[in-house]
This record gives sequence, structure tokens and C-alpha cells, in this order.
Amino acid sequence: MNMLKISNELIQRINTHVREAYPEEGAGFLLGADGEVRDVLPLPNAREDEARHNRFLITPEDYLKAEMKAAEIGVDLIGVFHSHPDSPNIPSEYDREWAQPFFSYIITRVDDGQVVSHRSWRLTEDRAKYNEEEIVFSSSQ
Amino acid sequence: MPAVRFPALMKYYVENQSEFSMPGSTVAELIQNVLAKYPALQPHLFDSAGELRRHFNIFVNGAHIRDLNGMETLLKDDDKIIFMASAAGG
Repeated sequence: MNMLKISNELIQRINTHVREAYPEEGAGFLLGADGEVRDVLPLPNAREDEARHNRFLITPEDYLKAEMKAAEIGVDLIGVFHSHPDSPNIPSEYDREWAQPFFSYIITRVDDGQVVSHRSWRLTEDRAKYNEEEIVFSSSQ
Repeated sequence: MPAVRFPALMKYYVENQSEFSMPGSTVAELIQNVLAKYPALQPHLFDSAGELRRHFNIFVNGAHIRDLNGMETLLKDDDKIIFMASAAGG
């Protein structure tokens, strides 16, 4: 099983963003290298109002800005985080259609506005399915 | 020749180049040439129906091709074509 390392501080930043987004989905990028998240970049959910409870969208413009920020601090975009309000943190078919290879996808379950758990997934090379990867939480970055 | 740029994470498929030149008189022809050289990109750019995956957006000199002439947008030698992803899910 692949591993994704992330500090508790960065997880807290994800938690804050997805709690604030609840009952809509919150999302952003994971920046890092070698399977370790070094920074997170919370972003606005660009989907239309009526879809944001179960869909998220990060625009190509925000994507480009994130790539530039990653280059600036000498890391890469290594994944995306998003929340599933009041539903399991398992990738949906819609998630799979939009997923990209090599990215880690952290999905956070948020029930009644409270973060329940995080799980991380990676798309297989043939795009057929996701494999879960272990999240290793550390006390510092 | 037009210059082509892919998102950083797709560099794996294009010999780790952040930018490269590729001939093509239209966007469609340029994509055909890109895929002929880097066939492993195919399933990540196009779905099984042959449609460009929805998370890819193509810009020519900063203008989205939907605001130009789509895949038939004419290209010049000094044009810059950026394949930029959006991230989405649900």
C-alpha cells in the first residue's frame, strides 16, 4: 500500500477549510514531494451554488496559480483534498472520471459539520479504479 | 513550430519536458501529433468515446479554444498551446 505523509498542522488546515465549507464540499491542493505533503492550498469551490453540496471544481486558473506556487517553493502539486459532507469518504464514480494519474486524493468525511475521518486514494494507471493509500500523520512538517 | 505545455504532473508522459515544440496547423492536428509521439497520454486526455476529458482545458496564447474555433483553431509557428487541467469531483 502506498503511503502519504502529512503533518497534523496541515491536516488541521484541511479540517478548518472543509468545516467552513460544510454543508458544501471544500477542496484544495496538496503540495509536496516524495509522498509527503509540505503545504496545502485551500481554494474556492467554483461549482454553481446548487451543486456544491456534492460537487467541487477548481478552475484551470486556480490550478495554474497552484502550480506556480508549488514551483515557487520548490515542490510539486501531489494531490487534491476535498470533503464528502454527510457521506462516506470513498471516491465516487464522478471522482474517478475527473481524477488524474499520480495524484493523491484525500477525502474527508464531514458529518453534521464535524470532521469524522480522512482517507486517501490513488487512481490506477489504467484509470479503472482507485487504490487506498495509508495516511501517516506526523507531529511536525 | 507551436510550443506545447502540459500540467507538471503530466510531464511523466512527455519525457519530463515542461514545454516542447510540436507541428500542427490546427489544435486537432497538433494533438494528433502529440499523441503519435507520446501515445501513453491518450487515455488521460481522451475518454473511451474519443472526447477530450472534461478536466482538460486548452488555451492558445492565453485564450480558451472554446472562445476561438475549438479544435479547428488555426495555429501559427509562434503560438503557445497550454493544456491546463481543472480539478473536480464529488
